[in-house]
Amino acid sequence: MNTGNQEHIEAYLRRELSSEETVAFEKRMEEDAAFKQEVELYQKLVAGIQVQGRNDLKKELQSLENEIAQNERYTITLQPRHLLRIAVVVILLIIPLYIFYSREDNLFDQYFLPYDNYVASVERGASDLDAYQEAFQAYEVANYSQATQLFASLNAEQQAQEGVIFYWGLSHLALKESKSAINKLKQVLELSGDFQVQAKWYLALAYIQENKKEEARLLLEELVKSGRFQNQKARELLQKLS
Amino acid sequence: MSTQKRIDEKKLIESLKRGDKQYFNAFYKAGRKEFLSWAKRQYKISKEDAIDIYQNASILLYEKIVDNQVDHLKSSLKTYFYGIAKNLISRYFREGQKEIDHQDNLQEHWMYQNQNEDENSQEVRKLIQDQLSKLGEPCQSILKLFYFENLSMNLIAQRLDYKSAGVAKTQKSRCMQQLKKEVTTQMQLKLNSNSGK
Repeated sequence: MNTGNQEHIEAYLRRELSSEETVAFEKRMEEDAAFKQEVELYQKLVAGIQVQGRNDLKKELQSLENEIAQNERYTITLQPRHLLRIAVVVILLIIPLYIFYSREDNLFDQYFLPYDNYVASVERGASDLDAYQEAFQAYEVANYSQATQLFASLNAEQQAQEGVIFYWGLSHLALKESKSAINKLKQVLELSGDFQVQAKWYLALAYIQENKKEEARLLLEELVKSGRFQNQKARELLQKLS
Repeated sequence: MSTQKRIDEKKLIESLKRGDKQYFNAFYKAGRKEFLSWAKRQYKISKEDAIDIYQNASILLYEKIVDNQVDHLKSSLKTYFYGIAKNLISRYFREGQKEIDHQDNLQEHWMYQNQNEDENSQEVRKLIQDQLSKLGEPCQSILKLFYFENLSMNLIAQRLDYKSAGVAKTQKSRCMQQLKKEVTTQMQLKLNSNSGK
């Protein structure tokens, strides 16, 4: 096939021949089988090159697609299925924390016993008690929420008494209102009175309830050193904390 | 807003005809997400298949653009693209085929023979593909630039650093001749080995 022939075929295939030329070209194809074959082969070559181009473009788009997928990996899009995954992760994180906290709770429950009332001796069944006595009676019968209300209703002078503050704090502690308990028990410590050592013990328990381990540990160490109130239990608790 | 879009589409068409795929790739990226969720919502097509169809529709769009078929569109290019995609999708459901048919031929300014698909023509097509991939440079590039990307000889000369369009044209003719020679030789060999059996 000479170049002139090739150009002629290509011009025909590109529909660039005039209508007369096209008629002549097609007449020649009918008459000359070898020429017809040549034209058909030329068509196939062109189609082949175009299919190849198509395949190359497909590969380019696939690598573009990989790029996009790579970028998507770094962008967090919050779709429902992602939310579900996040929820699962959060739950898995919470379970050990929950176990941890509930263990602290157990420590508190294991060691907390209300301290007996040594302040206002109340005769059981006695009537016409004043608020002061009523408060301690409520404490004795383990009605702690009533006790805290009654302690709160006392006058300022009564509320400043070490005994009142101590049992008031214990009432809060029994109700697991550890923040209020800590507040009261710290006041007791500041007064440096009769209930100081006991207050340390209960304050340590309140800190455990609040998961303030370090504060609890310090108080327990003091108790162990002093060898006084709840010494043995303080030692045990200290070991369990560490 | 829509003017902005028109300009982008116009830029896409113009740049692609110069052989610059930058806007085409941007078009691909920009429309991808919307297409995938549309295909999923409308047709329940898996993401993997939808990506395949999106790519094939993009290829067909590419061919229409370089074949000057979208120069006077009344709709937006995007609407036109979705038309192409819908055709691919309906064939996908009809025939289970995602790929572009080799008979979706190809660029309209070319005359193609009526392809009576027999075993022989399949064989010839495969043979041509093999020989094409064996073809070295600059022939691979120049043939692709001319017959697939539909670039002018001027642009091809610029791209491949030829002195003039005429030089590029001569080179292209040589490459075509070489390809034809290789293919004919292979066909002859095949014919001989078949008759020798």
